[in-house]
Amino acid sequence: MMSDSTGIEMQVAAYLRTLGLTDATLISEVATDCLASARRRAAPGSEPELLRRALEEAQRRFNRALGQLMGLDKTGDDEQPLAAVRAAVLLGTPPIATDDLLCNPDASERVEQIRRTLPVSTPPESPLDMHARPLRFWLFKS
Amino acid sequence: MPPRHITLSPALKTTRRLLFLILVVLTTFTAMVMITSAFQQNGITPAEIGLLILYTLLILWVSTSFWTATLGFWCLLTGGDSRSISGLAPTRTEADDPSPPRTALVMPVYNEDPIRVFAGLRAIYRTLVETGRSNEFELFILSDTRDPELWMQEEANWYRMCQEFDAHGKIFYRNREKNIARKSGNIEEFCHRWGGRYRYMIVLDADSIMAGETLVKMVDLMEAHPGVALIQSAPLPVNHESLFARILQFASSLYSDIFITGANFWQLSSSNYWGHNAIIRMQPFVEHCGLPRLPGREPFGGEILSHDFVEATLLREAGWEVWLATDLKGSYEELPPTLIDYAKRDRRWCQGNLQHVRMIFAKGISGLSRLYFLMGIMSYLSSPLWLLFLVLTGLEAYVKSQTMPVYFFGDNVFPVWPESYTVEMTTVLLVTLSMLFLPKFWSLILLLFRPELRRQYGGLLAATASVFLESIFSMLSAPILMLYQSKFVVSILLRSSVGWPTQNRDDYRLGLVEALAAHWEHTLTGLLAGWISYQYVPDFFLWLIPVLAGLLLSIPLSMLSSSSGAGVLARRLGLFLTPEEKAPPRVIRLLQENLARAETGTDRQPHADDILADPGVSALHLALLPQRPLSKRHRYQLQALVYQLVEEGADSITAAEKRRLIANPETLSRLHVLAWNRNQNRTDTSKP
Repeated sequence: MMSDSTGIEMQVAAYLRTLGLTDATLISEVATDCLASARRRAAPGSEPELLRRALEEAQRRFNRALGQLMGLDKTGDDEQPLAAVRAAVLLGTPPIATDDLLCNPDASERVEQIRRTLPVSTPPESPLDMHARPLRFWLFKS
Repeated sequence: MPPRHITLSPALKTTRRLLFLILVVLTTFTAMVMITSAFQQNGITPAEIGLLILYTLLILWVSTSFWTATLGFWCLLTGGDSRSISGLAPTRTEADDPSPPRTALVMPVYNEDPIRVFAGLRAIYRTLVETGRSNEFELFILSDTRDPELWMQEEANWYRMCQEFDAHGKIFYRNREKNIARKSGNIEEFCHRWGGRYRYMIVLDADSIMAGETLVKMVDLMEAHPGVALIQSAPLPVNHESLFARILQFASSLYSDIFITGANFWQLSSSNYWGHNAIIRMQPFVEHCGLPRLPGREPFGGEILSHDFVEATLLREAGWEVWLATDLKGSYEELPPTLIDYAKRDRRWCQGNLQHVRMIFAKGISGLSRLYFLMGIMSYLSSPLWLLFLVLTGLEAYVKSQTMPVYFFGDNVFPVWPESYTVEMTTVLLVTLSMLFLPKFWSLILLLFRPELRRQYGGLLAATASVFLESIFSMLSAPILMLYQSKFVVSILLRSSVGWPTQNRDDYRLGLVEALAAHWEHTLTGLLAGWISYQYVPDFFLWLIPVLAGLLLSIPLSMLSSSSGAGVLARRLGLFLTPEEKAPPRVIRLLQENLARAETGTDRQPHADDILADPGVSALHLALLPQRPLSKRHRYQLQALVYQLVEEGADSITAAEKRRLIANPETLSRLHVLAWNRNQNRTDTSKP
């Protein structure tokens, strides 16, 4: 049992590293917390579910931290803006050290960098009417 | 609102078109007279009437192309045509909109290789930035991609491109939820939603490459001529190494100048649209080019497939000018890499063009528009017509060979020798062959007067050798394409629809099995036709040898021409060189650099397998999803699909189901965790 938990904790730690965390102590602390939280929700004895819930908890914590940093409070309604922030942090160049971002209270410069690189997939709409032109034919049905 | 600016007098247009028409009709008539005089030996038989009709149609088609090339040759030989869109004085007045124009550069994509698409887009955008005028443009990737992994890869590449150029808010991406009406519907949806932001849009294909300078020049031309709704550039094929593609690239590069200039000579401000590498004025396009569904079912009814010709027609009929830019360089595209891929592309285009049969009978359009539709149809219909012509000629030759000459009849005391029409028939054949091959010769002659260009083709000797070999290749491949296209036409007439298959654009070596599967019918047809003609009409057999050779060699020809090695070897020998190969323009160099970086791994590309596992890409995808409320029923269905995926593996669900899963935020998040876990386990087990 102990070795299973360690394995899952290592997986969560690996996931946190994928999210850009580099500080080993911080990673270890967060991974332990995530696992503890997941245990309360997962069905006893189901290792895959425990891992899934632990990873989801890691995501949730990451989102919450980013939300606070960027001033997005409600994780429910702000799911997509939060996802945009997460994308900017994780795909941005040069890469942003996430733990520095999350632990450093004076990260305003980085926040500005994230804001500048938030994905903007489409501009504001400026609609035009484009109606199908009627075509009429000799010999054929129109 | 009809345009107020007219660039050319109607008299000039009429004169030029009349001249062109007279030349085409006279040539056709002369050929007809010669062949009729040969047929009239013993009165015309029904088979000969059939042959005469077929020949007239075919020679009309050949002479249209011949005179277009010849007029273009003449224009270029005498210093170029001043009546081209870039040579005309601006017609803009002070009353025209003085605000700076904003142009959308739109690229519709559908299940294309994202690496190639974005390598091209980055090359285009880089050269646009280098013009210093990129702030006048916004780039739109209009994705209709259905494949879930390609969809996410496109998004990741799009974001990386925004990062690379620091162009967030200048480069956009959207994936349509439903790809209604294919490419034309894709563009139409763009116009519906964002058309009001732009004065112009430049439409690109997924394999289009355009230099920034060319884009800027196109906008300047549109600004100078407010009565022009569309300017079509003439894209040159580039960037492939297979022998097949290199031969075609060479042919297009060397011969296209005279054809383009010739087309402009008689089309002038009533030219056509080829669907991409063109700039369009947004307002008239939106006003006039909404396409209806044609009544009836596919292939003749339904969505209009070859929408470009119809859109150009609608613009012209509304009084707007449509130009073909003859001297606008820096516009490129790619060709299918093999003969088989070329034929597959033809299958799609064939259906679109044949659908235009109905457009010929559209009410209220000009004769010129009907002519364009007819020409489009003839580019495919000519194949079955040639085939029919060959078969009828063989039959006629057989009948003639079975007829015993009668030397004494009526009251004649002396024998009446059968009259020989060898001279007439040989002349007809020579005239036809000349019209097919002379345009190649015209292009070589032009090289004599352009030393710089001659050097870029590897010198006159290399260019001549390349033209000779290209002529042999086109002679051998023509019968294969004739059979392919004839089959396509027949299957379309039998109402079999083509769907919307993705094109193969990458170089690859064709295997024997694939070549056999694609060409066994051609080889068999060649063997049968050869045996029958040799057995029954030996004289006809000799004439048929070039056609038979192409069919009998179809398998090795297709395999050899698909080879990049053969293409590279030909380049080393100085054959089929083009100026774009000899000294690639900057935009092509950038494309090649981008592709090389992606291939060698120095440029990070998300891998298809772990695209979902990447938390950044997954987050990006979620951020870009349109917000749609989901019914309870759909939510349960999606959850069931997740369970199916977990229990039975990823292969147990279809691509469409995967797409549904990643289009929903909840299931996307679940899939991301599953994919990351799977990847992690794979990494762990692969460790020693």
